[in-house]
Amino acid sequence: MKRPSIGSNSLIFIRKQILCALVLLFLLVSIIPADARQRPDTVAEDLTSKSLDELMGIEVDTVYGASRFEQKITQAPASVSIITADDIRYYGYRTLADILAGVRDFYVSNDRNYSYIGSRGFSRPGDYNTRFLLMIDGHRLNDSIYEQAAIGTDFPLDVDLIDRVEVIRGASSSLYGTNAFLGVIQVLTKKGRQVSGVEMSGEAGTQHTFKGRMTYGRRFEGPNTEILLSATKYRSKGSRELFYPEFNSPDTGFGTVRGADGEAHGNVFLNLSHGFLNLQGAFVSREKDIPTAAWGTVFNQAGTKSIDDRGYADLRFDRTFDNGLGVLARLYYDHYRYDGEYVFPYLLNKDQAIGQSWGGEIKVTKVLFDRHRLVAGAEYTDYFRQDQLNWDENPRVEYLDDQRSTYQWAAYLQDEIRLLPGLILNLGVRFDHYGTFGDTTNPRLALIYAFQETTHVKLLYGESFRAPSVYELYYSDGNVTSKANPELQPEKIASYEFILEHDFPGQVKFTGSLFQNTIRNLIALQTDPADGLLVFRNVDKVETAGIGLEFEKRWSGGIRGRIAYTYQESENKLDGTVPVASPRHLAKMHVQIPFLNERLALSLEEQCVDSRRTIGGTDAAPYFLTNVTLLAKGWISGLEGSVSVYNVFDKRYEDPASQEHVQNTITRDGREFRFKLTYRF
Amino acid sequence: MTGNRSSRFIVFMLIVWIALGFPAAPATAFPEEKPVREYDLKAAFLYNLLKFVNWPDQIQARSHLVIGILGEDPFGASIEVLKDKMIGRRRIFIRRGLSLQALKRCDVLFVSRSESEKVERVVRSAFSTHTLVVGDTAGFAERGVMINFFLHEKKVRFEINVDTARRAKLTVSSQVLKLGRVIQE
Repeated sequence: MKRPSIGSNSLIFIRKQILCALVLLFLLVSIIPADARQRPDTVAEDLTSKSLDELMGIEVDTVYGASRFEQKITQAPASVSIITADDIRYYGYRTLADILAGVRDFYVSNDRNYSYIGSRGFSRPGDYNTRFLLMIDGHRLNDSIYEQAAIGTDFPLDVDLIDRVEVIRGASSSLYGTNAFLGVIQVLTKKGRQVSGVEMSGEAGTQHTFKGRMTYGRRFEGPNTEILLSATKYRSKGSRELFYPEFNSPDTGFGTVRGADGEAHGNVFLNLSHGFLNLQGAFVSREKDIPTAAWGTVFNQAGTKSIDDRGYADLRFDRTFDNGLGVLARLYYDHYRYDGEYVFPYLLNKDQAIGQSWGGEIKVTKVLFDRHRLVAGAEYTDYFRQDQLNWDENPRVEYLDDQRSTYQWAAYLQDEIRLLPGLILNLGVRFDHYGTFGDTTNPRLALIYAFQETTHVKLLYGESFRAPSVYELYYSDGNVTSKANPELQPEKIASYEFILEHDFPGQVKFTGSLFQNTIRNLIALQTDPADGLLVFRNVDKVETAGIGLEFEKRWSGGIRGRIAYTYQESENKLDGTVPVASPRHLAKMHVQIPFLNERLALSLEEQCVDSRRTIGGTDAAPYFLTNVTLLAKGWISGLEGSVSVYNVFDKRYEDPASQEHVQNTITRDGREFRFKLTYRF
Repeated sequence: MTGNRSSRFIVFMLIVWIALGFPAAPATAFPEEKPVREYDLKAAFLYNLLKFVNWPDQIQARSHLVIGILGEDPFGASIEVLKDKMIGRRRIFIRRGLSLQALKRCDVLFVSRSESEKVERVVRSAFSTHTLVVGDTAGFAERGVMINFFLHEKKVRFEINVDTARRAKLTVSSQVLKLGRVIQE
């Protein structure tokens, strides 16, 4: 069924218009004489035009991720949202998935195994978030087998250790390479000085959920000498009882699963700095029982589960020399291991994947010719172990024993050009070479204009790619049901965006964005008509156009709130259908009300997600979700407590399921409570 | 593999880059993006707070408002943005000095951390000259400094000593009292 309003012709029309506008602006800019480009005042920043209320809210206001150096959010060549440690405390966010679900243009689904990110109408159920790049302090976390961005309890960092999360929308391969396809999620961690002592935190919640954390942080005498060490342990029994009508028959217990939704994880994190050197390491091991009878496993029988181990070490040297030259050199090691156990009738099948890699990156930043700020870098990664195994136990029958190794290198260059006071042109390009498919080059171009500090306009164009994962290239079960496709090529996206940011009087901040994405060569699981086997192929093409709006306001007395709305239309270009899991409307609302001199704060979050088509052709119903957190602090020195209620109205809501499920949709959790106490000494 | 489209794009970008990079560039400094600096922010706070302070009529009627910095100046250029700005009809002047005598009479006096042992004396003399004494050192408010800045979770906050302000015949608007931490003796 074709949709009437934004068809493909008008999409192309919009794209041409944006391109014309960009070219025109270039021409205009190049005829302006050089001496008309005056320098803005840089000696000291004049903040006096701000009101007291505004000043009260100011702190270090920079983003790192969008350009790979710290810059003001309004000058970033992308649409960026920032979620701070305060937001995490006040809104009671438990995981990175909780955080992202509150961000404009984003929605998160969960199939009781992993959490999946959707953004701007694009979400492929079961895609392991490969179209998003996830990083901790600049270290890539997408693993080297499935390229998964782990945002649930499999994320290696306790959310309490997050200083801020930068969500950078759009195509950013020009800086970051693969996976920076629909967005980059940059997590920046707290420093030792922000803890300054020992912090103990305990949580208890519905579903017999318990979490404990212990953190030690300190800043020592000496140049930039700090330590942060933290460990977390978590377990949950999960939903006591789950009902799946698809299994409602006498031989499958009438559709009810009991006690097969448990989850446990433990993680450690270390961050050491001394002078210009920094060493960071993280490790998480997480085990999740799968209650959904995915992949045809036995319904209502415990034992089907996935275990993910993720860890990394990152040693870096970061220095800005007196002549303004900034140098960052990194050396890193990554480890990933997956163990899947699948209970089939009369046999146990096991999957194992081990990915190990090391690599290095060097990046320099320098201001040249007075108004060019250049970022140039190169990186190399040696994926020396990429093993995938699949076998049956008792008797042992091997279906897959695939051992690979490959490498990848890349070079990138970005130039931020200050054309006029207030006018910035940002150009970037990155070349990537892969041992598997070859080369790809991806550019980005951004024009940013500021009118009198209160209004910013950005025009963006970017291309990105996603390299096929080792899993997509080589996984097969011995050609029983699926086969490998080593010929896979990367997916490509071209995205256009127009952004308007404006500060209204009365502390109201508006952000509006028009976006258009064209995704080609999308890798999808297909059935080969020649032999009936499942195989990954570059087949799909998807186009999306939409608008995102956000208002943020602060009132006196510390009350603050924001409302965000996203409208988008997407189309599968192959057959003219609406893609699965692509909600047309998304809305969010956040309000934070402090009282009793900020010793108590009530925070309310509303998420509204429109209906989404499922793989089976049905619809997952639209839903409206309410979460509330009450935070108390300052009553007893060093102690902070909170009570959160998630899904306050016990709304039954569901997400479109991926291909491995019989179910069209997987039901999410009902009302949940969480109590949390944190003590610092 | 990305075909002609992106290679055309790269050529286009290179041309644009070269075209923009090599015109006879004037000697302009590239503005560095920096996080908001502490004393830029404190200067802005000071300026905004002064709008909510009332001096006795004879002083309020003057055409100038003198901000003095006693001791080692932590502001540097940050305070210079206030120079020549107006508070009502009064134009701001900045003076620096190592002694009260050198500073002469000030409407606002910032007492640097370096002058810690002089604080009580400075506050006492401020009563007769109707000077607003300001600082940013822990404990200064309890020792009589009328507005004392401090940092809390990377944000600037301030304490107000309403008793000493009243003795200097200065009134601080309730708008400001609501935002700060009020110290009473």
